Formats: sequence, C-alpha cells, structure tokens
Amino acid sequence: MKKEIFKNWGLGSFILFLTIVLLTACGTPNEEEGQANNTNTNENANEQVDNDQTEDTADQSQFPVTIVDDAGREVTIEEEPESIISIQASITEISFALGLGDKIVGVSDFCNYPEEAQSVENVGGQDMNVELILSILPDIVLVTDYHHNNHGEILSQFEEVGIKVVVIGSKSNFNEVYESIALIGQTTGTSNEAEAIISDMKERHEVLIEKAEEITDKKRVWVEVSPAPDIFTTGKGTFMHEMLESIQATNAAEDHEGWVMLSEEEIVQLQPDVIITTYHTEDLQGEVSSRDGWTEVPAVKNGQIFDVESDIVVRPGPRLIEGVETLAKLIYPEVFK
Amino acid sequence: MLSLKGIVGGYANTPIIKGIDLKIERGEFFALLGPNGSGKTTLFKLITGQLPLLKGESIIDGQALSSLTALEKAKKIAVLTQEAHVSFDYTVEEIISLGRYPYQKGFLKNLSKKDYEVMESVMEITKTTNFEKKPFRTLSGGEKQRVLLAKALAQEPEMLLLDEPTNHLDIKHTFQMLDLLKEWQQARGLTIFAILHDLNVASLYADRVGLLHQGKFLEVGDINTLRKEDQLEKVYEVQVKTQSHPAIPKPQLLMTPNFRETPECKDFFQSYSIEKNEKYVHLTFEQPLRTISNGVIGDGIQWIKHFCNFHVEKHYNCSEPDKDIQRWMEKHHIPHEQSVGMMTAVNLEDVIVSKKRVGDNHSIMAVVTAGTGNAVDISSKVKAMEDVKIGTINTMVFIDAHFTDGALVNGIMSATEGKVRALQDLQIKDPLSNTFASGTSTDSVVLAVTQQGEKTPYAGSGTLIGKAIGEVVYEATTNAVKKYLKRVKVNDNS
Amino acid sequence: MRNSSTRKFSNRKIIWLYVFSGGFVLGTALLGLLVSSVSVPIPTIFHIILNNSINIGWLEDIPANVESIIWNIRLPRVLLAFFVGASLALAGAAFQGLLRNPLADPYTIGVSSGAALGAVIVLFFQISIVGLGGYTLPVLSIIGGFIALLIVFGLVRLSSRSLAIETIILAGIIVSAFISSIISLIIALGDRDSMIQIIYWLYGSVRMRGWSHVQLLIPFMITGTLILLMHYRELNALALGEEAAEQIGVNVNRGKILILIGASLLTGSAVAVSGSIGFVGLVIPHLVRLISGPNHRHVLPLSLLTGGAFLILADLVARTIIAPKELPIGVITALIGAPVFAFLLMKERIGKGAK
Repeated sequence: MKKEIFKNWGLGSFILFLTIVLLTACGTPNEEEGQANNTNTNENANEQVDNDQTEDTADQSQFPVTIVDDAGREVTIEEEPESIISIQASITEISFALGLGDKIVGVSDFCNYPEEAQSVENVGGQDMNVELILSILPDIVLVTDYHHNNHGEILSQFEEVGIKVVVIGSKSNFNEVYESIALIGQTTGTSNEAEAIISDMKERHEVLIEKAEEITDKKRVWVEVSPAPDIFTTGKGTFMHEMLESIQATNAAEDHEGWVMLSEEEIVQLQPDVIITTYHTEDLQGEVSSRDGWTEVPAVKNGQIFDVESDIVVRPGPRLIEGVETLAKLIYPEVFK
Repeated sequence: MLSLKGIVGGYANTPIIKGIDLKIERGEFFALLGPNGSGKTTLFKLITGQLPLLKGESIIDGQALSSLTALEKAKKIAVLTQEAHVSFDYTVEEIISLGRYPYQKGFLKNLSKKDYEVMESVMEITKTTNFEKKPFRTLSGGEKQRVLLAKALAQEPEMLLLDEPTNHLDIKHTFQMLDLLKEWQQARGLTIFAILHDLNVASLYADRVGLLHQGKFLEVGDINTLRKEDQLEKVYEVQVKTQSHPAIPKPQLLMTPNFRETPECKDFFQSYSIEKNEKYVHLTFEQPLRTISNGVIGDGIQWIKHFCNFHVEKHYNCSEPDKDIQRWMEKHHIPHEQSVGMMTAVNLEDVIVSKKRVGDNHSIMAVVTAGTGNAVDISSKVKAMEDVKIGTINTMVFIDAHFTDGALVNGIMSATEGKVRALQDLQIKDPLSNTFASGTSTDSVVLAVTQQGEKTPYAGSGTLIGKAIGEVVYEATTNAVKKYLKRVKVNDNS
Repeated sequence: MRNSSTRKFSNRKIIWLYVFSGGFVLGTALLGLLVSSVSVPIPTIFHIILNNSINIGWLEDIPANVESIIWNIRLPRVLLAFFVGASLALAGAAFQGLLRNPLADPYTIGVSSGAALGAVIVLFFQISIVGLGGYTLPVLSIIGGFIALLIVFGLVRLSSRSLAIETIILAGIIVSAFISSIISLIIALGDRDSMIQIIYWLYGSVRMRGWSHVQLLIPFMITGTLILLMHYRELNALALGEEAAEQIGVNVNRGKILILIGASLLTGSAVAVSGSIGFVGLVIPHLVRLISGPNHRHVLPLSLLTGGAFLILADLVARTIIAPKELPIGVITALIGAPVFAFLLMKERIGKGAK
C-alpha cells in the first residue's frame, strides 16, 4: 500500500513527506542555535526521565500525575485518560505499542501504522481540524512542538474545554525516542508497558552492538532517502547515522549534517560498498546501476543495493529497532544471520 | 487680479522663464502667445504652481499664490488644459461634480443643493446637459472639452487658465468654445488667461496679448501688437503679413511660405487667352494675378485668374447684378470665385486691346470697352439723374510687374488719370452741366499684376510704370470711345 | 429639477446595491457559521453567539467544547475571513483608483509580496520588537508592504517620467519576483521547522487563527478603512490625473501618501494574519465598479462588503469541498477569481471595440 502511495505521489509529496519526517526526526540539525536548544532540552528531558523512572517504580499508574512535557510545560493529569488523539505518526505508533489502541479516537493524516490506526478518525496534520477535535472532546491530545510553536492559542482552547495537551518534541536519537515512549507511558498510565518496550529495544540493540564488535572491515554505506535526480541522504544527527555507527558501518555521508542533497559526482566519489534506499522502486538494482558513471561504484559492481521501509528507519517509534536489525542483516549478512 | 513680479523658473534649475512681469486685470481676456519653446507652457505651469518659482512672486488678490493651499487656489483659479484623459467610466455629471470639490463641506462631503444648482447652470451653458449621464470616455473630442470646461466653471473661479484649450478641436468647436468663454467673461467678469496657438484666434477673442520670446515678453499690449509684422517675423521666423479682418476691426495674420511655385517664365503677352463674342469678353491667365478692382464680383484686392466683361441690355434690371454674373459664368463654365466680373451695355465688338512694353522687364496691356452716354463731370454741381442711360467705361489693365498693395492703388490712380485725360482730349461732355466729363457714372476698373520680378512700391505718374499705365489706358480709352462714337453716329444716321 | 427623477433613480439603485451586498455579507456569515464538518444545531449557534456577545441566552447546559467550537473557532474564523477579504478588496479598490489602473491590486504592484517578506522575516528570525509584542508581525508586514511599494514607485520613476500603467505593473512584477526569491532563499537557508511554518503560512489561510488574530487585524483594518473612506473624493479626482486633481483643489501629495498608507495598512495586516490570498483585491473592486459605476464613494464601501463576503464564501468552500481536509483559501480565490477576471477583461475589450 505504501509502495503505491510513493509511486503515485512523486517528488511533491516526497518533499511534504520529507518535511513531516524531518519535523519529527531531525529537529534543527542545520542550525547551530537550534542544536544548542536541542541539547538543552535533551538534558532537561534526561533529568526528567530519571526522576520519572524512580517515581514510576515507587507508585506507577497512579493518578493524578504531573508531567513535564517536551515543551517544558507542567501538565497534571487527574485520572487515567480514556480517549486520546495523536497528531503524529510516531506518537500513534508508540501509543498503539503501549496497548492504547482502543483509546485512540483521532489520528493524523500520516498515521499508517499499525493497520488499525488507519480506521481511526482523521483530525488533520500540521493544521488540525480544530472543530472536530473539540467535538470529539478527548481526554488528551498528543501534539508536536510544531503545534506548540504555531498554534498555541488553539492548544489553550483545548485546555479550556478540559482537554489535556501534551507536547511530544521532535527526536533525533534513540535515547530521545526512549524518553518519548516513557513520557507517553507516564501520561497515559502505561509506564510498565513503556518500560518493557524500552528495555526490549535496548536489549535488542545491545545484542547487535556486541555482535558488531567482531567486524574489522567497516563497510561504507550510502543512504538514499529520495530517488534521483534529487538524491537526499542522511548525514550526522539522524537515526540512520546512529544506526550505521552502532553496527560498525560507516555512513558515507558522515561529513554532512542532517538530511542533505548531494550531487551524483560527490556520491560516486564516496565509493560506497553498500547502497541503502528507503523509497520503493520496481527495479532498484537496474535503476541505480543505470545511472551514468555509477558502474565503478563497489556497491553497484557487487550488487549491494538494498531497500528498507523508510518508516522503520526514520520514524521515532518502537519499530526503529527493527530498522537497525534489518540494516545489520543487509550490510553484514555474514555477521548478523 | 493676478500680478507676476520678476518671475524666473523652469526645469532642473535651467530657467526657461527668465524674468517676467505681468499684471492681469480683473475681467480681461489675456492671451499668451509665442512659438514652441518660447516658454509658454512653463510660464503657465509656474502660474498654476505645477512648477516652483526660482525667483520672483505671483500675487493673486494681494496674496502670494504660493501661500495658498490647493483648495484656496481652486476657488480662485480653474485650469483647463488640452489633455482630456479620464480613467474609468465616470459619467459626465460625475466629472463636472469634481469641480465642486473645493466647496464640499462636512464629514461626508456630499454634494449640496447649491452644488447641484451650480452644476446644472454650467451644464446648461456648456450645452452638456443632454449627455450628463453618458460615460465621459464615449464622448467626442469637442464634447469632452466642453465637459472639462463645465468642470472648470463649476469651480466658480475668478480666473480661468487655459492651456491651448482648442488644440484638438475643429473650427466649429474652437469658435463655440471661445464664444462661450467670452460670454462668461462678459457676463460674470471672469478673468481669462489663455495660451493660444493660433494668432488669428487670439486676435479675435483676446483683449490683450503677450508675446513671449525666449523666456521673456517681447511685448505686452492690445491686439494691435499683432500688427507689428517685423516683431512677429523675428519671433516666429515666418514671413507674416498683417491685414485687417474684413468684418471686424481686428488684425489677422497671413503667413507666406518660403516654398513658392515658380511659374514658367513665359512672355506676358503669351500667358493668357482671350475669348470674345457678343455676350462677353473673357480673359484667362495661366497664373492668378494680384488684382485690385471694383468689379461687380471679385472686388477688392484678390488673386484672380479670370477677367470677364458681360454685355447687358440697355434696360438691364440691376437689382442683383452679382447673382446674375455668377449665373452667367456658371453657364459658360467660368469659376466665379476666381473671377472679376463687369457689365456693360456697349457692343463688345468695339473692345480695344492696347499693349505696351516698358523697359526690359515690364509689359502692360489694357482692355477697354467704352460708352459715354452717362458721361459725368465729377466736379459739376448738377445732380445726376436717376434714370441713367447705359454707357460705361470698363477698363482692365494687366501688368507684368510686382506691386505692393500701395502700388496697386497707385496703379488705379494712374489708370484713372489716363482715362480722364482721354475723355478730355475727346472733348466728352457731361450732358447735364455741359462741362468736360471726368468719367461715366458706372465706370469699372481692374488692375491685375503678375507679381513677377522686382517689387515695385510705387506706380504713380512719377514712375516709369505708372506713366506707362496712364499711357496705355489713355490710348485704349481714346480708341474705344472713338469706336463708340462712330457706332453711335452710324446708328443715328441709319 | 429636470433630472431629479434620474438622480432619484440612481440613488435607488445604489441603495439596492448596499442592501444586496449587506445581505450577501449576512448570508455568507450565517452559512459560514452553520456549515462545517462538525454539525451544531442552529439554535445552539445563535444562543452561543448572543450569549457571548450581548449576554442574551436562553439555553442551558451548552457543553464547553461546543461553545468553544462556535465562539472560539468558527466565529473568529468567519470574522477573520470577512475582515481579510474586506481589507484586500478595499485596498485593491484604492490602488486601482490611485493608479488609475484596473489591473492594480496589492499583488500585482508588489505590496503583498513585501508584506509577506516582512512576515517571513518575523517568522524566521523569531523577531519580537520591544513594545510591539504580538503586533511585531503585522507591523513589520505593513512596513514590508510599504517599502515594496516605495521600491516599485522608485523603479517607475527611474524608468519613465509618467506613472504609466504598464510600467507600474511591470515594476510590481519585478519587485514581487525579487521578493519571492528572497523568501525562497530564507526558506532554503532555514531549518525544516521554519520552512514548514513559512510554506503553510504562504499558502494563505484563515483557519486556526482564533480571536487573537482578529484582534490583531482590527485596529489596522479600522484605521486603514477610515483613511480610505475619507479619501473617496480624492480618488475620484485622481481619475483626471494628478495635475488636474491638484487644480481642482486636491492636495495630491498628501492624499496620495495617505491613500498609500491606508491601503498598505490594510494589505499588510491582512497578509500578516492570513498569508497570501490573491485575486480578491483585483476582481472584487472590478466587479463592483462594473455594477455601481466608478464613483469611489460607493466603490470603496461596496468593495469592502463584497470582498468580505466573498472571502467568507471562499473559506467555506475551502473547508467543505474535500472535508475533513481543507484546501488553502488562496487556491479557491484564484480558482474563482482568475476566470472571472479573464471574463471581465474580455468583456471590457469587446465593449471597447464595439464603441
């Protein structure tokens, strides 16, 4: 299904998709200022998580609970929420993973996983259908920092009628994703489930990292998140980069920050051993190897061109771990059987 | 009303107007004249305030014009220019209502009853009432200009400034418009200051004119300033001839082009054809001749090609002689607008043609028909009888020379003197007083000159040419009278 | 006396025009309040509005969320649409009158682009001028619009002595294109967050704005509207050309500057709260002029009413046509406005040819 969407939408929708994804995934990696902010909030968040975790073990799923969301707002939730609206695909995924599927009464345009999410009422994306949300009157709305920054007035209207608003910020590494999961768990009274997911992810990642230690000959991996001619790749500060590093692969675009577009000349010069794409094309091998001047690229010569589903490598949700595992098997099949 | 004191101004610090003093009296029509580039429009704009004064001041009703706001100015001065561009489809009424802008009061600035009254009266005067609801854009040029004039008059100004208001108008609309302005000037004491392109139009309508030359007034005065040909020639660099308007005592200017057709230099005596029969004598010249005459038609000073002498019955009813001659000419395909026409009861077989060459350059020809039945002594005390017998001396003199208007009159005198002398020598007597006759009661004369060669200012008896005229006329008249007397004798005998 | 009957006739026609456009406003406003993806009973809607505005209510137990939907979401949205449409149409009418050019509107002469740039700068650099606070965005928007206007006029002055129609439009297009590229540059330099924010904002919309935006717009809107309505006679006089206007007593320079300021206030504040919404300022005054005649005394207020109503309607279409999703309102105005304008142009051309 997603394949079809991609095929039909073309570049325009890609950009839209890109921006959505980036919003959630990258924060502001291009801007120093933005980064500084990011690290700040990260530190804050870390502290909170620590605090929360101690609280959690003491008296979990106890309401009322007061949390500090990613916008630094203190939100007190009086009792366990019965209805939740999520306006972000990653939040929706986390919520479902936490077993909150029955409570989700509204999702965004881009919530495509799990299957059940698609049958939930659509309440918009960047621009929310405010009237609809107000008329659904959920207990909690989980929004992104985009909404917090641009539609503060609307969010306060939600609160006026008794809807709790929790801001889940954008994430760019695994630790932040764990924090998100913990925060959502705390907010919805599913801290145990959150803890379970987080430890599962951490353990599985740990296994991979350990196995990877035996790798001596690091492979250079070139990632393409958009097809030619506008080839975007993932530089430093992206999940992809972190994943590749953790399994002892070299991100060919490690000299760049965030999502960047490189010219074909630059890419060929990087001489990648493996090419990973996140867009689906019928004849991927043929498409890549037919590019002028690419025939001498080792990855092309050896047929090391693979496609992975983008949602598991860019969306800051529980499935990220699947993404690392998939990458590991594709890049070092002899190590990660 | 308006006085300009030492005004200097123009574009970008290069003064086009270099010091102008002018006083315009209340209720006068002042026309600003001058060639292109003399600074007319600049002066105009300095007065309207579109251009800043570099020096000097303009004072209206004791107040400096520059100290007035646009609104105050608009109540005193209205402006009408040649441009008539209006955006959007405003109706005529809406355009005219704009003239009430300076008078609108109150927060909403609605048109008051007074405003509507003024608008209606100016529309009536400018004859724009019947298209007041039409879009301005759909009007003809003349209608548009009238509407804009109505708008200007709706301002109830004391003074109207006009920048070539009739530039795009045809003759009819030009005169309509200026008549209208003149009427308003006289009825309401409106002061008018107008740039006029056409000197003759200015002469007809203006009370005073100012002649602008290179940013300064050459002369300011009444319209007779326009009679100064040298001055006009200097300013406009065109040969100008001033004449009086034939109907009203105002100068009219005639411009002579530098370009001239040069006719073939033919011998004078070969350059005409003559047609003679019992009805008429008709001379046709290849080129028009400068003529002075008292013919039945073609009188005054003119340029004429055809010279006719018609035979009429002795008891011809001369109630409308000019119409009769025109009819006859039409019948014989002679263009009467280019003709001198005379009448005589004399038998046209007796016409005498005398020719004479004078010096190397001049030739003279006289064509005379004579009858002395009505011979009159001009100095006799006896009253002329009402019922005159037919008998007239028609003299046509054609000269290959170049005469001034004065010389033409001289020529007439010389011809007349020749005629009188001939009558004396033939001992023709006034039958009533029995003294020597000086002519007949209905003599006609035409003097026609080719205007070739050197200009001759005099043609009196003291000059060679004047003398020759007299001689030729004398000779022709003598022969014609002799022939007449002979025919009379024969008739009497038979 | 003779033409008092015709005057009465045209007066009556004008009165009817006001009645119709007033009715159009009320009708579209009601529709805007009633029709939505969330249905609320009509009496409840009236109750909420009356109760909140003039404290007359007869129903009890209105759920807070329903009240919020009507009072905080729908009503400000309809009002904002009205104010934005009214501002743009009025500014368009003023620009057209001032420049004696039926093609002039805030977009074609670059004011909107300038205002957009002002707003983008505020959004991108997160500027907040001390003392202006929340008004930073509209104020910078208005200043941006005004500067763009000055640049356009500067260009025109440099290239030709007269304010030729074609030159103004051409200069407007050049300046607009230049400003657009600066906006693109800012977007390209910026991070994804601000890029999304700017792109969404540039689309033009009156949704998710709330009372704060209405409050933001109102002072500028009132000031600009008053300035323009007070200068209707000057706009009429300018149809004769600037010199002729001066000669009938108009202080042309003052009038021109005030009209430009008024129109820039309206455009800038409208762009500041709603982004770029095209064609309202171009088509509405044109249409109004076609029906009411060119007298600005009526063109201005009628454009205001019709423009406001038109944008309420366009917003209604935008949010209902593919509900629950919404189209950008600028798309709707362009989809309606461009063909209408093309039609008007052809009609005018044909009309002129026939004369």
